[in-house]
Amino acid sequence: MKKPLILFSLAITIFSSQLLFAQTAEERGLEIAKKQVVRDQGWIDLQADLEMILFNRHGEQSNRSNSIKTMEVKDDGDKSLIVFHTPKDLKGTAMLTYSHAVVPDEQWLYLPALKRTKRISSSNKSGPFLGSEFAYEDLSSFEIEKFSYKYIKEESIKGRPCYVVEYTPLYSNSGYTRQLAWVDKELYHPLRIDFYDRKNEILKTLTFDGYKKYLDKIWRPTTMDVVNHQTGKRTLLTWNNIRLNTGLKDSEFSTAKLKTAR
Amino acid sequence: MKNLFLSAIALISFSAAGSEFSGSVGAEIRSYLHESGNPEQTNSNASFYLQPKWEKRFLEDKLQFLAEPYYRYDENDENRSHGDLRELFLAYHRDTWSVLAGVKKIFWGVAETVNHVDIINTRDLADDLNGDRKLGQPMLKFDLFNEWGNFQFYTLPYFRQPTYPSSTSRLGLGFDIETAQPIYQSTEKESHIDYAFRWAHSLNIVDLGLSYFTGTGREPILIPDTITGKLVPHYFLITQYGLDFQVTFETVLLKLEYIERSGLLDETYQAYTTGFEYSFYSLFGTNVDVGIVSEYVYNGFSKASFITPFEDDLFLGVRVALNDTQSSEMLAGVFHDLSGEGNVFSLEASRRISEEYKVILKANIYHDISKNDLILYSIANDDNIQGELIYYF
Repeated sequence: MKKPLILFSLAITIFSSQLLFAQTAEERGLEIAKKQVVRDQGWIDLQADLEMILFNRHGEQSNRSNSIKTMEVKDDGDKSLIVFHTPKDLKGTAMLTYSHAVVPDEQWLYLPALKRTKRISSSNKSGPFLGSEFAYEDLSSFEIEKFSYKYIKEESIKGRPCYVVEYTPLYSNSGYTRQLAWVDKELYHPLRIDFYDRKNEILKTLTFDGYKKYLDKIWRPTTMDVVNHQTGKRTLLTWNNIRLNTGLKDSEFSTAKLKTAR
Repeated sequence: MKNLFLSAIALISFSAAGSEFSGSVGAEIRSYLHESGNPEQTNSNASFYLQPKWEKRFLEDKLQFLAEPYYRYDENDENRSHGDLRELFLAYHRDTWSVLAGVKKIFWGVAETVNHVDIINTRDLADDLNGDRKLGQPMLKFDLFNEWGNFQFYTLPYFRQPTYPSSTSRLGLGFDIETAQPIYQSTEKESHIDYAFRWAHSLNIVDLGLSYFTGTGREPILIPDTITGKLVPHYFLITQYGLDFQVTFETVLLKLEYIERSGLLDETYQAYTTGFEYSFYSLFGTNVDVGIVSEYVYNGFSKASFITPFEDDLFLGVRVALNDTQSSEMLAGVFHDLSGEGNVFSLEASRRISEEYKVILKANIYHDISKNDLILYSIANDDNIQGELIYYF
């Protein structure tokens, strides 16, 4: 009866040496994601103006302009405040989100015509943001615990060598089975993400462009262009007037202050 | 009010340079489905409104000035042709406190149907009998913001009577209301100083509010004058304690609004609205959200039928949001009277048709309304559909 024990210990040796010397694809994916998060830390807060152009399949446009304030929260998801400027019927509408890694986000909507702040469910993650091709989950903060990871391969995009990593959402109510991200090998930010729907068919491609460096270390894109392969619709999101570490206070991200946000 | 209006215009013209100007103008056509028994009443009605808004911030946005006057013209109802200052205030905002002086609209509550706790503003019933429209309330408001929530203190120095549709108009109450000769319990009449307080806080999945009001109740008891036959509004000094809370789960929202009010005809009574909203997000893999809304409304006042159509009623509704570029939405539902009889069916749908225009479709059907339902009975023959076109500038 000694043989199986030997086999068993042999198996352990092989397994642990794999751990030591050869990473699994999952471990490598996780490592890349962790580096992504570490590289993006320390922006403290951000203010910007967002311009969205929504194209339907006939190329007809409609515009959305918003202003956004976000704040880094230690060991948790970011807090964000978006105030809508156009379309004009939505002017003054404001959305406050406390995003979390695993538990559901907290979200409130201020409706200026009624002077009413409504707590809303954040579980419509796959729903479109303001009728655009961006789902709420595409715009929420990137937290390690939200996905499981798998390294796929290396591939260059526009001359930039990238890691291709598969993200599988671990949070409930995602509209995706998986996302395929092209992460810049040197700078560790995404250049492209392909989204696969619940039937695991390609749904959208999001392309990041015009990365600029802020605070000497934080890279942020100027444009995010998402094309829906199934409907032919497209949304171009442009970040204007990006400012980091502007000294925003936590108190600005409160439901009471939502009424006077601008 | 006249003086207030003049000073408003003065302030507006003073500050107009460099300020932010926006607003909306809307046209509304209403069609009644049944002939009226009154030959003076028509089967259709046209109306329009204008609501401009000026806002300006000074001192790194700490000082805020806002003016939002309102005017509506109605083809048939002289009471509905009216103006109001919805808002006109100066506010000073700091991180942990703010102070505001002027005229403002305030919303308290969580319910979708009847907001019992929402007591600061008098209702502009001439504008819309459903009570969603509010008259601007003069106030001095002080806010504290800290880790224990938002504490609001109100001093309300002037009381404004509700407006009513004229007695001859459709969707009117059928009686002349003697708003020129109201009877106040307070000897100071409309100048009685009212006070209110509210504490609101969010804790994880719970949003909670506690409120207190003491002063002239916003809804009168209408008592017939034996000589003139007109209804005379009697305004009582009341005290109201309110509680509102919402628990937000992934797909279910649970809601409660509860008040205890004393002072109305020497009575102390309870009223509440409670219910839920259940949502099916991204139905069948589309972008469409469908929500089921159900609320129960109770009013324990012995003469509740004098002040509200909803004493013991159940609302069941469906909300549909297409989440498209045009923000197409619809809420359809029915109020069913549990203790009496009668149903009120309502529908409201809206869709943006360009960057500046939006259309709204509304319908109200009054079915099987009992004579005991004093308010609804007067409009029971006024089933209507209504289209609105709004331009935003």
